[in-house]
Amino acid sequence: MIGIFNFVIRNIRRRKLRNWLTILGIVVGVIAIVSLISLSEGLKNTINEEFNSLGANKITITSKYAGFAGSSSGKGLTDEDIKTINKISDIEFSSGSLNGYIETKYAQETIMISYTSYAAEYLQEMLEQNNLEIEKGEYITDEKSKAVIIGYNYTDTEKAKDLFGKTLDIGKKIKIATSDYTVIGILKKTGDSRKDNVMYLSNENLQEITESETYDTIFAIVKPGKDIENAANRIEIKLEKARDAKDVTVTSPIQEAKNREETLGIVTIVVVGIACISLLVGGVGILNSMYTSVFERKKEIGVLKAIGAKRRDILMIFLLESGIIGLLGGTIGVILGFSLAGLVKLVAYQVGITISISITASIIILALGFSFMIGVISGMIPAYLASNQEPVDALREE
Amino acid sequence: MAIKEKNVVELKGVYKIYCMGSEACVNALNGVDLKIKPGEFLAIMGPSGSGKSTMMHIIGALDLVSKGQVFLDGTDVSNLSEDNLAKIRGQKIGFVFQDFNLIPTLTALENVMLPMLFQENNKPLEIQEKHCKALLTLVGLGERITHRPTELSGGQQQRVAIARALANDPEIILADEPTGALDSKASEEIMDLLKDLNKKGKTIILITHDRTVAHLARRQIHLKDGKIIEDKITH
Repeated sequence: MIGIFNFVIRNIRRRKLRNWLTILGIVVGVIAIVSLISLSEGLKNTINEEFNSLGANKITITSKYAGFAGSSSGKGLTDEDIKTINKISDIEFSSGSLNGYIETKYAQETIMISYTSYAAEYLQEMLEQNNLEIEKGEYITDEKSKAVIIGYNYTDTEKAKDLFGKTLDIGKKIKIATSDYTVIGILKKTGDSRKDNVMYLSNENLQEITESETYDTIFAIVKPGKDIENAANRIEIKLEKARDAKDVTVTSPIQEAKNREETLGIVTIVVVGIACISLLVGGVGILNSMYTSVFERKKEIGVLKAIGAKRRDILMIFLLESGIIGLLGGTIGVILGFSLAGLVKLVAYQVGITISISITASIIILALGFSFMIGVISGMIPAYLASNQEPVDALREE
Repeated sequence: MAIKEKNVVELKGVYKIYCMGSEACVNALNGVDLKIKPGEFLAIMGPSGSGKSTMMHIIGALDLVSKGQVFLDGTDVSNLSEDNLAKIRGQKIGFVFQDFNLIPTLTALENVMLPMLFQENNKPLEIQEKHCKALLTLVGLGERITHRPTELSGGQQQRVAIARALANDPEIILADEPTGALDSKASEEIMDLLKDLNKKGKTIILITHDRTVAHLARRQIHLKDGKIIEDKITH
């Protein structure tokens, strides 16, 4: 029932208001740290997931001089480049892709729609690389057929209001630029409105519409088990040699993930660093409170020494007390910090932004450990002063 | 018998000098020799400034001497480190203070158990608890073990303090004006309790300026200017 721990808990409860205010200082710091780490870790996870969904064995090749949608110049990527890449032994296949933003008419409504095209031969595979799948209908398999695959939103009654005003379905015809195309496939819902608004064509059709002979991007799929970085390097060397120019950018998913993670990491360190300052201020609060406490309890320290408490017993009592204050602040801070992150997620969702938060044991352990340490460190000097008090002096105090 | 002859407290030429600055030094104890045998009931008396508080600090191993030697139960404590002094205090001396000095947040039982908390090789908690409940029963507070100091009268608080002083079963009970803050009825009860403890074999050392209280002690020592001026056995 009684042990030093119990004794310490009683001491903390004795000065309720002051200790709660001290704890509040730690709580604020921990809230800031926990919510920021939770959000940034969540962001990191989202990015990684996105990368995984893009396919970990997919290398992206772009021309350094290619402009935006449909404006690829003579410097763009060609079928020659695809042949060059396909000669590399580690490459399963490669395929060109185009993007375009084109006027489209359906049911008296003309709107701009974002298009992506792949070679019909690889269209299903490329869609699947992006975690896209046909829900209804079929994939485009004929390069020349005037067929289009549409995103989920065009079939959703609510979302279609902002598009054509009317839902689309298999067999319906839409007018892309000047030609009519038939809807032959509908993609499953992804929940990402950017993806669900896209339509897909074969390369030949989109090249015709955009009057382009090149590709914006070539995707090269690496054979299973082969080193992706290595394959990316070989593609770069071969292409530069074949094109006789250093005008392509070759990106492997690993590289890309690294780049993004690095940037995010720097942002996280800066932001959490700032949050740590507020935790330090909380630590100063503990220091202040413990200091006052030592002076107020001078007589009590004398009594404890008189009945046999050694210096390390007194030291332990005060360190434990400040440590527990830190830990209490940390515990409340962790709960409120995750709550705050959750609230941010909720508010963001209300305005249409999907963010994820991360709640992991390591964040909890880190935050609790850190706040306990701050408490103990802040309590060190006051505890030392307390333990060093002469029992006679301490007892004389009234 | 040899054991009978052994002194539980022995002061040999003890000086305690306090200096305020380099010039003004006060000899609070000015060459004191004193032997206390086990089972004695002793009152140390004297006006304020006579050195009785200093005497109590020295006998209670709360303070070190400037010159001379102090033996507690045969051990020379004159030059012990602070932690070793704390250990000796915890084992050999039970303090009873004028204003009780109980820890306000703890119950009566927890206050009594406190000295055991600081002892090495702690006994299991249940045994400690049983022992301390028995002590509270001994001082007549068996029914109030869960009360906090603020819920107890002055006399009751002092009983808790006496029970606390007994927790580690020390040789000596060192009581500094134990009745100073109590009314006459409560004072009488506390003194009866101390007499009882003495009958059970404890050495009781009273520090007091109250003659009626001092008269209950068999041996009285009078201090003046840091010296023993009278040492008499009364009854």
